[in-house]
Amino acid sequence: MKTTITMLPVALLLAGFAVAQDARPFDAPVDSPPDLPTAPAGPSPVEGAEEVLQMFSQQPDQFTQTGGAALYDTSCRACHMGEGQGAIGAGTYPHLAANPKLTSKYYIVTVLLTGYHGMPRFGDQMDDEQIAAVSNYVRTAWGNAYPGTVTAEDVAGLRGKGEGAGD
Amino acid sequence: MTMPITMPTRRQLLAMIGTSAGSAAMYQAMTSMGFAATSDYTGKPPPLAGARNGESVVILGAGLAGLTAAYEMRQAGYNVKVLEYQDRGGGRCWTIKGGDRFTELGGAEVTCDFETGYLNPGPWRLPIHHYAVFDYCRKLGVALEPFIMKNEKAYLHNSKAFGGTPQQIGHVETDIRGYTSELLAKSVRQGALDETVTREDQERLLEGLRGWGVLDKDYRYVKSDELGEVRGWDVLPGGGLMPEAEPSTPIAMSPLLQSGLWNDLFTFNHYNHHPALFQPVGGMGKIGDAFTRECRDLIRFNSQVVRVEQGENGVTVHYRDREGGDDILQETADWCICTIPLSVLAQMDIDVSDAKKKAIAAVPYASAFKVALEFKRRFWEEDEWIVGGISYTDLPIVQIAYPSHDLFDKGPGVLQAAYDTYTAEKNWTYTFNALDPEERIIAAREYGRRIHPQYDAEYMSGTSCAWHRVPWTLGCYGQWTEELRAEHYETLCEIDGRVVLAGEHCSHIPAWQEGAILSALDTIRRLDRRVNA
Repeated sequence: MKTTITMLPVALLLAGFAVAQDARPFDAPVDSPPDLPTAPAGPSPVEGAEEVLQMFSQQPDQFTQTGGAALYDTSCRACHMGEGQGAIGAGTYPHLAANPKLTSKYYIVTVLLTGYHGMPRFGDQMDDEQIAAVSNYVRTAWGNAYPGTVTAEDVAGLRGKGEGAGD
Repeated sequence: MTMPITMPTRRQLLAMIGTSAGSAAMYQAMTSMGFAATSDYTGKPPPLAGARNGESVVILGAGLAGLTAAYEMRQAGYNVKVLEYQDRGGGRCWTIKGGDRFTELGGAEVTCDFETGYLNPGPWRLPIHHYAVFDYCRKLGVALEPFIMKNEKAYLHNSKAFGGTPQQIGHVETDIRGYTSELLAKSVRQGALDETVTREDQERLLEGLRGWGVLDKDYRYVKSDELGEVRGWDVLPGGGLMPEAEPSTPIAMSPLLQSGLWNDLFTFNHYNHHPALFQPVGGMGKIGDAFTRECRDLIRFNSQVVRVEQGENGVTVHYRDREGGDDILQETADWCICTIPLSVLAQMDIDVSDAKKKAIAAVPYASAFKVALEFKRRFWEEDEWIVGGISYTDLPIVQIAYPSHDLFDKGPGVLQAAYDTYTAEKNWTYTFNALDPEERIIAAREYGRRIHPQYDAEYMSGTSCAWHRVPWTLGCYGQWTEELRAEHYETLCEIDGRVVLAGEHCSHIPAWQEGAILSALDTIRRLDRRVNA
């Protein structure tokens, strides 16, 4: 421990210089830090931390969430926002709520696999099941009720075909 | 998981390299894919023939590319006008300070209540070979100070190694050099390299390895006073009757290798990270401020471009005053330099060739984020003697950067507590962009306290920037790939009638200010030649 190491020389110094009135004791130079920090024990004082941390994927190179809502919230939500309402600034992020482009289930799958305009592709970060799950979520959330269901097989069929075409 | 049986994408290629050869090799490959490209800038802006007939140029965007063009073309006699969407100049060259507020896409307000310090949400360090940036700093009187990139006392942290205890960068580096030296020496002495290295070279190699790796007389990497001089001490040599010096003890080889921490060292090899690096005194935004000051009379702020029309004789830019209702205003000029980010431009009505339109629409915009936290005291300096530098972690905050300014101050201090861009291809950049401002701060605090437990007692306030939530960029920078460049880059940069694009997206140095400036300089050189053809 830092304290025990530093206290000893201070004591020695004080003893050695006891007669010298202007002796200025100082800590022996202990290289820092003698103890590397360890994760704090006990509950976190950061309110809401547990909930926020759950948003993050367990892996950096592949999303680990499986549910459509969880996948949406950890990626798509950045631009298309929590209620699928999109946003308008100097340019626009399309709204996904009540967006007729979602009528075709293949459209959203292709956009996810290849990217579109400024939107990066997600085909590398999500597998077929995940692409299907997030597609189905977007097509049924916020009052959307577009017909048909995207399956992993649908995604597999489009993967490779359209991929790169958006480039 | 289904993998396409087509040609591997750049990311897959990098992942393959990363898996088989380690992240160091992966970063090397990234470098060769254009992330470290430097310029052939000669140290002077291009000599322009100038506007012999009083030609006019309208420049869209008052970031570094737009204002470099404005500054140089006005000097060459052109009649210059700049239209800027924001109420400020500088673009992504920007510093957030205490008292600043801005509304991000989605409607949330980002606040900054720092008592001291700042956050550079975009660029934050200047490598010395970014000559053009330094030249303009000189010319415009922007004061610079050293930026500490590497600090041996900062940490490498793998939450799954060493019980989550971070290790000092200097220790990891010295130890990995020691062990690899020991292993290589062993191979040489066992004759394993007899066929590839001559006897004489072997002797030299062994001699060198002993010094390089700090090996003992038997070519072993072990604790010793000699190693203490390189790796540091548990008890430093002192004065008088202070206790005997005690050298530090190397981390054991196997856990060190297993931790993967040494892979993170490669970031310091990156040419863009070589010391000495610099930063403007008072924040990166000072560069943008200086350009804005120089060009202020040319800039019309709060101007949102909605259409770029061109004909044989000129360009008409249709725009809207963001504070002046829906009226469409017009600015006409002989030429137009458009620096609007492609993420925005792809949605705009612009008269250019179909090939150019395709190029504009082809480039995705990279995700990036930063969070800064202010603490009551500079505990990283006071407790851990980490003065400047960066710690790297496998947690989603990716890195914690310690300020290179106000060193040893007593008062509060600001850490850049989380930062990543999608260049490293980690999906957490999306997640940070998907979080609301308060949630980003929560994440940065919760992950950061695992490296610096002092967070809990010392936290004051935080701020952040999620680049996909920034209304005027819709993302951080042009995310080029080799394939995209091969197909679209030249088309994107070519003059199209009377319109030409510039910006970091029209450079081989994506996301760096040098790219924006060099793009502008090359663009005005070509435009001036066209004007005077």
